[in-house]
Amino acid sequence: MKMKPILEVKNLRTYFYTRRGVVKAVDGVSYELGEGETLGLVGESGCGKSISCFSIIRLVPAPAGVIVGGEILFGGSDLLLKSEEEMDRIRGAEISMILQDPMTSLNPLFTIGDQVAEPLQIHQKLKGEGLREKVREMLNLVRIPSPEVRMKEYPHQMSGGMRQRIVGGMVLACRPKILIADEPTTSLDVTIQAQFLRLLKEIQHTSNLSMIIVTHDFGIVAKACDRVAVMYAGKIVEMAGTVELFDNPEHPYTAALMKSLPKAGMRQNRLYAIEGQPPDLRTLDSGCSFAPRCPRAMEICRKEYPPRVEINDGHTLSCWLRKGEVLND
Amino acid sequence: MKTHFWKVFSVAAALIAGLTAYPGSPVQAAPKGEVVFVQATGSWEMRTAFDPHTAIGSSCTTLISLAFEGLVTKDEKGILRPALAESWKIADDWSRIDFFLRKEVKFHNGDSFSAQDVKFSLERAMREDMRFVFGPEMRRNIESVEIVDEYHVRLNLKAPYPAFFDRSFEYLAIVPKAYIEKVGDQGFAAKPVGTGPFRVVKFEREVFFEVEAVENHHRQTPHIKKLTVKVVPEHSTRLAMLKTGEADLIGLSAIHVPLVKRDPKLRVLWNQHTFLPTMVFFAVSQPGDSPFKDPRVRLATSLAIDRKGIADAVGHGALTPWGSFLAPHHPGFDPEQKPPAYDPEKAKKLLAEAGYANGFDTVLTSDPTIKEWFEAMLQQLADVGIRAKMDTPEHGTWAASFVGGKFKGIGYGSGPWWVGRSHPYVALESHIIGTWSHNLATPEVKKTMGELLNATDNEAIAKSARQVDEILLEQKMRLPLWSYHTPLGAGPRIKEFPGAPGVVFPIGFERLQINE
Amino acid sequence: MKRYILKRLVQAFVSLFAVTLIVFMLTQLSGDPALLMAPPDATPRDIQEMREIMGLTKPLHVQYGIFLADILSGEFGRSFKWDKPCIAIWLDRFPNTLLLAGASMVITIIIGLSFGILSAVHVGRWFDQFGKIFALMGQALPVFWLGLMLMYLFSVKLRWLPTSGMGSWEHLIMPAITLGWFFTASIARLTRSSMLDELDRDYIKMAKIKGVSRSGIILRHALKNATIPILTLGSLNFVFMLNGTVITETVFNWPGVGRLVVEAIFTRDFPLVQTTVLIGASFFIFVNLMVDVLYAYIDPRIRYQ
Repeated sequence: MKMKPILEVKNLRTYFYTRRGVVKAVDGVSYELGEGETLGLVGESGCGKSISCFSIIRLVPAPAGVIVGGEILFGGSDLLLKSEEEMDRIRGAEISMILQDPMTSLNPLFTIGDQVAEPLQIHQKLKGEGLREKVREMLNLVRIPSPEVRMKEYPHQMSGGMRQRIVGGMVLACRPKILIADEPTTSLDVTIQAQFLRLLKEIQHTSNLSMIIVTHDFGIVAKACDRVAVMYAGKIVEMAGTVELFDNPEHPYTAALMKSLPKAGMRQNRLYAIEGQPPDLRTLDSGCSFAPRCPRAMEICRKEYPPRVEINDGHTLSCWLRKGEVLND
Repeated sequence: MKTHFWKVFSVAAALIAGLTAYPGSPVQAAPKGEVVFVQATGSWEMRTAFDPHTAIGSSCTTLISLAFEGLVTKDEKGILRPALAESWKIADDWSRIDFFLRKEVKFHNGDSFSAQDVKFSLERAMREDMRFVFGPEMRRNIESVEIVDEYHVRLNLKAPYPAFFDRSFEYLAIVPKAYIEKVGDQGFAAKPVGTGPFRVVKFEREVFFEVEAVENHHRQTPHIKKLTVKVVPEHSTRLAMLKTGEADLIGLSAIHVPLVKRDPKLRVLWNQHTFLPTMVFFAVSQPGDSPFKDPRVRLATSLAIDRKGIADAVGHGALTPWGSFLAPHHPGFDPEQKPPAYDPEKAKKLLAEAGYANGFDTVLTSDPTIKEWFEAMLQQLADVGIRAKMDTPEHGTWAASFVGGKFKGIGYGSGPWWVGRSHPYVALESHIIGTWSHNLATPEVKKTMGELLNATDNEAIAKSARQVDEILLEQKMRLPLWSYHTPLGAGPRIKEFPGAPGVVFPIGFERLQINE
Repeated sequence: MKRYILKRLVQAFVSLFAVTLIVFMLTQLSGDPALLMAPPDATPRDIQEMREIMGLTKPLHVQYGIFLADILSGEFGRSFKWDKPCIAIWLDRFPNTLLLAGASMVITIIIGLSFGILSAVHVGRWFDQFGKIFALMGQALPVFWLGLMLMYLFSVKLRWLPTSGMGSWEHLIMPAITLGWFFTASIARLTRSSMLDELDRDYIKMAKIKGVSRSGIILRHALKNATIPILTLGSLNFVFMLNGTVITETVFNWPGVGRLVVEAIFTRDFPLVQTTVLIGASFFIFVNLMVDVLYAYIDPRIRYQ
């Protein structure tokens, strides 16, 4: 039984209009995010996972990037139809985001306290002692020691791990319903990565936060995500519960990704790499975009793009190899 | 963001609209009876403003002539006339000059004028600490100033001093003795008092000088009530001021003459014969060979230049081809004088005779302010075979090089300088035997100049002056080219301004009349 | 931080000393003031006497020593033409130049900054294209021509403004615009690129994610970071303006220091030339020093070094 999802992305398409052609960065992405759920978005660089997330909060780089179609349903309305002012109210308060590089996510000229306080000032109109109290509370929540002192300091005086935690505190200050994390641990030391993830999970549990984690690291997917969507060339090629996906990676691309993971404890002479290059998103032929690199490509694969089918409860797939109940998107 | 932009735009538009609606009073012509004269520069060439006896340059004439008078002045024909001296007599041997002074003259502060003031003024100008530009000259030539009686002053001289009259009307202001002894030099400079047709109202050095008319002046009561002289160095700005009416009269740059002529509301007034551009043959006084040492080549050069053509093309009305070293207001001037003809064929023949059938190369130097006139010659000279390369150093450099004898070939020579110099000796001296002469005078010229210096009556002066002129014209070590007339731009309010010929920095504002 | 300032101060003084030497040599080489001041009738002896009075016949090193002593005494020597301490002449004119440069700077910053920000915010669209043309014109059109054109349009043709001189605020508009024209363009261009750099940064994205409004992003976040290079350029511009008012002051007959310099040079008024050039140079040096200190104040990263 499915609960009503907190976010529904339907056939999202975001294109970039460049001098050398139209880049179809996100080309028909659909998924649902449940309350309290963590969805992982995985794929190679350039597959469109980050852009699809920026599209949700409508921060696609203009003027080249344009959301050309689809619906993003949140709180009973379509985010794509909202005005800038309305989106300003949603950003930070209802939906928030963490970026990849903590070293550049904080403004070097403002104090930590000022930066954490800002969303509280904007959305909750807090001031004075009440504001400072809340800022301390958030810094405590993200495990920043001596928050009183830290509040007056500047970002360059903190380590990467601390900065990322501060960013976390900053974006969660107004208790948004959805947090999108774009490769949140990629730039962190390995030792701190786990720490940060644990922190996010804890916060999630206490506040029923829904999360979308963009990553290329299946380890994180395994640890932190309830469901996973695999993206390739702007489309979701396979989506399933985490356990299900690891057990039954149906799409050849997913299978290849799993295969290329280094296996702990086993000696390997060479890491498996998928042959070929990701396609040029300006010149996609009709047909499955993975076909040129797929070891099991068939004639039809090159001619027509496979429809999305549901092969198991919650496990969807776009591949001519498996037949199942066709989903209408 | 779009709304934000339109907000800014509408605010800006409102501002601009508001500004344009503002009536704006600043562009106003002077009130009735008041005239604004705008000059290029130079009027303030005195060390202390406003003290005529501290003059250090040659151009304070305008301002000094407004508030002060000397013993003599110049009328609108350029002839010396009595001012504070009714008459004068030069001794035959130049040992002294007797001046008989005008009676019943009052200074602007009410003090009566008498011989005391003359003696005081002349001695003041001769004081070493005043550093008056002609101080050394006065000290060299004047033995003493003697008061014979209340209205009779005698100047005892060490040497003939014809220049005294020129200095008199331009710089040697007569100042009130009692007043200065009371307020001191600084006090006088702050509040100057003279006997001129105007009295000083206020001034700011290098910016403006405001005077008002003196009623019932002993010599000439001005037709206008007030005059403001402003200094604006940029000629385009002066023209703009004339067009808007901010100025009634301006010092006009020659290149703007056609523009003023085209405007029906404005006209050009000419100060005639203010200076004589010449062509100098530098090589003649320098060691070594040069084609120009041959008088035939020099004649050829003269014949090769189309003085009239150049005057018509780039003169804008300021140039009249000229064939004498004197001006019409100098005694000894030959009214029949004609500029040399333009005859390139004859020039070529002469060059061939002198052995330069294939021409030769040389250098032509010019001061940058008048280089157009000389650039126009380059082709004409080349046509007869004199292939000249042009060089126009910056003015200060040009002056130093000219006086220092550094130029070769041919080039512009700046004199004789006629600014107010009424006596032909004074007019010719500097450029014929003095600082700017370039050592071209022959013993014959020097002898005749000596005779001119010593002459004391008009006939003798005229005769010697003509002799000098003829010798110079024959020797051709310098060639007269054109007589230059200084243009003034006059606005619609100016009815008449006779000024005075020969004076670059205008005087005679008491004769200015306006249409009102 | 104190050591930093001290070091920069010492450097500044060394530069100043070098400037006095250069200025002295150049003016000495430039020509003969006595010859230019004297009337044509003056005899060579009279001119020589003038030179002696001006102190030009003394040996060079003695003249240089006198020059240095004059600077230290605060008088900066006596002008040949005005016979007044040069510093008094300069101080008389300087407030006028300051007024002009100040007004110009205000216009420059308001217009330049706005254009730059708007161009950056609307990058690629018609305002940006217009801004590019504007910047090009600003840097290509000669100041002299612009001044005269403005005068012709607004004074002669429209009669809205006086042609020249100093007086009411109406006298100030055209010279201020003329003087600031070039700098407005360069500030606009710098602001645009500085802002574009800033708007690209992650922490700006973060601010947007937090829900900061468009104007908040531009004016509070991006602009603060962008002002650092603008501040440098702005200060240098201001000094350029103070020193470079010559053309504007000549065209509009503004009684400032710029015109004073040119007049002094034309008449070879050595003490005045030396004074004005030296003071101008020290402006540059001083402002550079100030900017470095200001940097350290604004950017805490430098402060904590």
